[in-house]
Amino acid sequence: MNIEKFVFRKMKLQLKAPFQTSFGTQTDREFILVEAHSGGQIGYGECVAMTEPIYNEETVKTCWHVMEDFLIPMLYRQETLEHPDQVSEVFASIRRNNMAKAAIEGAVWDLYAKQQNQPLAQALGGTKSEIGVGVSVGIQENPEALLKVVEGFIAEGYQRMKIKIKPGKDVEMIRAVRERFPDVPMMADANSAYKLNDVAVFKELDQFNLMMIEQPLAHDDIIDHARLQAQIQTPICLDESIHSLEDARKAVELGSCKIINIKVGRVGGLTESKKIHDYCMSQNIPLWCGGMLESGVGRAHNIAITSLANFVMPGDTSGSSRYWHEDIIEPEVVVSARGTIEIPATPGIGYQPVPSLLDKYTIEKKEICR
Amino acid sequence: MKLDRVVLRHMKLQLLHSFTTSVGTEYDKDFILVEVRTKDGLVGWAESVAAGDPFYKEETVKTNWHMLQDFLIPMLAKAPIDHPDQVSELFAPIRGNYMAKSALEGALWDLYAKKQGLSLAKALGGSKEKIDVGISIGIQDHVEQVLDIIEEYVEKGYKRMKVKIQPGWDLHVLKAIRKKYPKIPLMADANCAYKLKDIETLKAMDEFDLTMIEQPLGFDDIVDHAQLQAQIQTPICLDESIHSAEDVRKALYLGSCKVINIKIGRVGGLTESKKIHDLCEAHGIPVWCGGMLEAGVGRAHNVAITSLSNFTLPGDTAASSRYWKEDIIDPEVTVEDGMITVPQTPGIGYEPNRERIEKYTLYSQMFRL
Repeated sequence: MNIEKFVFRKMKLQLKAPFQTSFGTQTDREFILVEAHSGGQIGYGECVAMTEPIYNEETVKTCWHVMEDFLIPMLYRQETLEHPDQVSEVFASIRRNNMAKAAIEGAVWDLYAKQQNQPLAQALGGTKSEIGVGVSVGIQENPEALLKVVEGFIAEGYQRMKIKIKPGKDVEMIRAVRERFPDVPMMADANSAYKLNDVAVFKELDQFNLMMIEQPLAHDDIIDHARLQAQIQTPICLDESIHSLEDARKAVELGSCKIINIKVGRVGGLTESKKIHDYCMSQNIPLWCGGMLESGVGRAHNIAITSLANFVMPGDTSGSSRYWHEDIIEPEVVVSARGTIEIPATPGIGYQPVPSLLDKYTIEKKEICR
Repeated sequence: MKLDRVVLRHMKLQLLHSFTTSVGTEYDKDFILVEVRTKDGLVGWAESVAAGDPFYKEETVKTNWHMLQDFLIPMLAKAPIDHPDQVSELFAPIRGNYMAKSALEGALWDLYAKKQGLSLAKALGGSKEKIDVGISIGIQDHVEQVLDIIEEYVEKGYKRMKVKIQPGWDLHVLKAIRKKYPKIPLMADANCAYKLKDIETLKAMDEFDLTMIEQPLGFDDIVDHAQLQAQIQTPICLDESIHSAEDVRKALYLGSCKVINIKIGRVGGLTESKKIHDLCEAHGIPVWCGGMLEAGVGRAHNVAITSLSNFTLPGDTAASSRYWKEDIIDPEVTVEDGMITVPQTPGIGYEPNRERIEKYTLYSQMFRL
C-alpha cells in the first residue's frame, strides 16, 4: 500500500450537550484524527480515547505517545503492507493500547478501500444497505422526566431505547417506561455499577422484557457475569470487558453473555471487530455497535462495520447533529424518520472530511514521514 | 499527613548485564522515581516499575508521567490523606494505570511508616526478619550457559532457580538442569509464550518436579489457565493476568492457579498487595514477590512486602549488585546465604543517595500540593 506519511491531528470539537464525569463537566470532545497518505489519496481514522482514563486506561495523550513512539515506527519497518489485516499482526507485541492501534489501522483500512475503489463497508464484507439506529438515554431525575425524554425519542423514530441505570435508579425507572410503552424495544445499560450480590435487582428486571442489560458488573470481568447470567433471564451484553476475539470466545464459552457490543476502538480495530463478528455469528451471538462520542470520521467507521450481517441489533451510532454543532465531514451523518442510516456507496468511509473544518478544529498537528 | 510537594524524576540506570525474555532484550532501565515531602520535612520514596516500552504491560514511563502529572497528583492535592490505604480508593475512578498509581501510593506508604517511626515492613504487618531470595535466568544461547549460572548461584546459596522458557527453549533446558541438579527448587517462567494447544509440551514438564510454571498462557487470561491447570500436575503461578484481589478471587474460583506472583506495581500498590496476600493466605495459596528490574527504592518496597507471612516462596528480589553498576540507595541491598535481612529502621530502611540520584536523573519536575 506504500504509505508515505501519517498525519496526527489533535482535534477539539464543541459538544452540543455537555456531559459529566468524575472530573467535572466536559463541554468539548478532544480526540486524535489520523491520516494515512499514499499517492495523493488519504485514509482517515479516529482515535476514540478521551482526555481522561475513565472508560478504560487510555487517553488522548497515551494514544499519541504509543502511536508516535511505537506503532508508526513498527509499521514503517514493515517492508510491504498488502492488506490492512496485517496491521494488527505488526502491532501484536504491544500490549493493549487498543484505541491507539485501532486509530492507525482504521486509517489504513479507509486508504485500502479507496485504493480498491470500493466502499469501506464492502471492503469489510458488509452486506446491508442501511443500519438501524438506537438512542441512549442518560440517568434522569425521576420517572416522569425519563418518560418525557423517551417519548421524544420514540417520536423521532429511534428503533431502540437504551436506558442508563444505577443502584437506586433502576427498577422504578424501567418499570415506568415499560408500563407506558409496553412494546418499545428497550434495554438497560448499567456501566459496571453493580456487584454480583445485587442479583435481586436483575431478577426483578426480568419481568420487563428487556432486550438486554449491558455490562452490569465490573469493567474487566467475564467470570462474575457468567454467574449472573446463569441466574437471570434477561440476556447480558458485554462491552468494557471484551478486548479481542479471545475474550469473546472465553465469554461465550463461560456463558457470560448472550450479546456483544462491539466498539472498534476498544477491540483494537476493524480486523479484530470482523473476527469477533464472524465468531459470534457462528455461535448465534447477535451484535451491535457501541458509540464513543465520535466525530464524523469515527461515526463513518462505525457505520461501515455495522453493515456486516450479524450486527442485527440497532446500534448507538446516531446522526452528527445529535452531538455536534458542526461535524467535520460532508455530508453529515443523517438518520431517517424510520431510524435508519443509509450506508454510503462511495469509496472508503464514504463521507468526505472537509479540509477547512479539519484545520479549524485542529489544536495540534504532526506529520510523520516514512 | 500534611503533604507539601511531589517530585518526579525520570531516571536512567545502566544494567550490569542485558536481560532477555521472550519479549525482548533490555540494556538499561528508564523509570520514574517519586519523592513525596511533608510540610515538616519527612520524605517518602517509591519507584514506578513501568519500562520505556509497552511490552510487559500497556504502561510506559511516559504514560505513567502523564497519569501522575495530570490526574493522580492533582487528585492527591485535593484530598487529605490520613492513611495510605485511602490512596487506592481515591484513585479508583482512574481505570488501569496500575504502575502509575502504585508509584505514588508507595511513596505515601514510606512516608506514613516514617511518620509512625516504623519500618515499612512493620507498617504493612510484616513479621519476617529475613526473606528468601531466588534467581531468575534469562534465555541464553546455550544450555551450558544456564548450567553455569545455576552453579554460581547454587554456590551463593540462592533458594530457587527460575528459568525463562519459550517454545524451542523449554524441555531440553529443564531436562539438562534436572539431570545435573535433581533436587534444587526449580521453576519455569513462560511469560505468556504458549497457547492451550501446546498442552503436550506443558504436560511433559510434569516430570521435572517444578515448584511451578509461571504465566504459560495469555497475558490477560485466567480462563484458559483453568483448563490447563486441570490437566497438568505442575502448579500454575499467575503473574501478568492478576491486577487486583478481585482477579485473584476469580482465578481461585475457576482453579486457574495454585500460586500467585505479587508485583506491587502490577496490582496498583501496597494496599492491594496486602489484600491479595490476605485473600491467598485464607485460601492456602502461597505467594511470592516478582521483580521488575527495580533500582534500590523499588527493591526496598519489595523487601518490605515480602516480610508478610504468606510470602512463603522465594522471590525475585536479589542483591543490587546483580543488576546495577551503582545503585541509588545506601546501603545497597545485599544477599547473604540466599537471604535478605529486612531493615528495621523507619520507612523503606535504605537511604536514597541524592548525589547519585542527581547523576542518573534525565529530567525532573516538582509539584506543590
